[in-house]
Amino acid sequence: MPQTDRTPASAQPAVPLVSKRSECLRWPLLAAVLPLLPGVIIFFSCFAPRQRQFIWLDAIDRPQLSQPFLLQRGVLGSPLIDLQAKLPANSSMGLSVELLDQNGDLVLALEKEGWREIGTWVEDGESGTYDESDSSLKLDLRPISDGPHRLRLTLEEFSDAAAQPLQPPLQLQLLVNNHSVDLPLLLITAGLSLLLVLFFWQSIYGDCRQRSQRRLVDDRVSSRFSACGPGLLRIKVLGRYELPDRLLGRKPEWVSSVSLVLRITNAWGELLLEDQLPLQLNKKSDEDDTWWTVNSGPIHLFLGKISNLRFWAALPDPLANGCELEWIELLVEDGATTPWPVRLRVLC
Amino acid sequence: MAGAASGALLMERALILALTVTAVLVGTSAAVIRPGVYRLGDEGTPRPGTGVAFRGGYRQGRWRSDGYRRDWGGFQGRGPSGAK
Repeated sequence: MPQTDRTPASAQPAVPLVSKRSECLRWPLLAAVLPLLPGVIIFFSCFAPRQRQFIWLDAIDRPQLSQPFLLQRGVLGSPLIDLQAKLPANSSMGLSVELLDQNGDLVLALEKEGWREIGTWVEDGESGTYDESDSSLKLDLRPISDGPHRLRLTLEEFSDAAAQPLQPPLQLQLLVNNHSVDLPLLLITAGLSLLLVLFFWQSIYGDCRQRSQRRLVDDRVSSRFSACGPGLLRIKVLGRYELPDRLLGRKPEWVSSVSLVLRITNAWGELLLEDQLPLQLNKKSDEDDTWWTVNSGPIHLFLGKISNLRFWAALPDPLANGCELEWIELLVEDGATTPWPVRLRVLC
Repeated sequence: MAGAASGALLMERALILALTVTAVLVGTSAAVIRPGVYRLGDEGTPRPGTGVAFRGGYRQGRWRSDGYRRDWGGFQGRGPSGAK
């Protein structure tokens, strides 16, 4: 059980930051494993053994046999036959592909029309080169029976852009992978499950009650209500500083931080917490204006029982460099859950 | 009242988690086992890619060639459709 410091209500108004507390739910973070699972399978599929060979077709209408390659009807993945022709620029081919089983029987026959075009494009004063082709054949299939298979390849047509015959040879690369997986489906699964995990985390860590959100054109803001129950109290203070009109055009002196004063009292006016927090000034600007913002970030508090509380926050106004506070905003939520231990103040 | 709301919230979280686990299990196993991949001997042919035409097909478990041979049309460059 992690230790927490409890501060008496009235003895020490200024409560120092205390140790971590186990007011958090960590187990939902394990859901991050789910979208990673398809990625792990994609990673390991990259190391699946592949059978590679090169085939040269050195004459028109002369069949050429590939070396035998193994086709398996495995459970993990399916066979993928990937045949890639190394076509020269601006040429086309007509290729007859026949798949033979271990007995030399024809089990599949097809023809593949391929082409490759290289050129330049010009449009709207811009230009570039392009290299487009359709010269690969991918066959996803399972064999009738496991065993060595061969391809019988015949180059039936090989010509240039002017339909003039080209002289072979034509080189082909054959890649066979018996454990190919459905990559697009794995990517879709990873994306969808990531979205669902984000919904799941939002339903847990985003599930808190907003008890107060007040923005005032003043240097202080306060709010009173009954708060707490299960979970944590979370406070955030925002502010915006600007140069007054009379100082416009001047370059104000550099001020890096301001001091936020935060007080919490109970229904009887007893001080439960008083603290001063340095907040960083962040410079913002657009074409017409320059301003500075402050943001306390989430301040977490723990209150064991439901109490009527008054929250009070103040920022200095004006600053030493002349900047004036335009508004201050106080946001209070309760019932908050965090995914990891946070620095926490305990109210008694 | 608060208990009912809490119960509904727990139900919602359990539902999202169950949906996530189901999506991962179904999607991943389908991508690995690939039940839809064509098996030689089944009726028809595998799914053809671009520029592919099968010279026959399976009928009653046997490959039947149709004897068709294409009259090749020659070079048909498509231009810089995806180059820019």
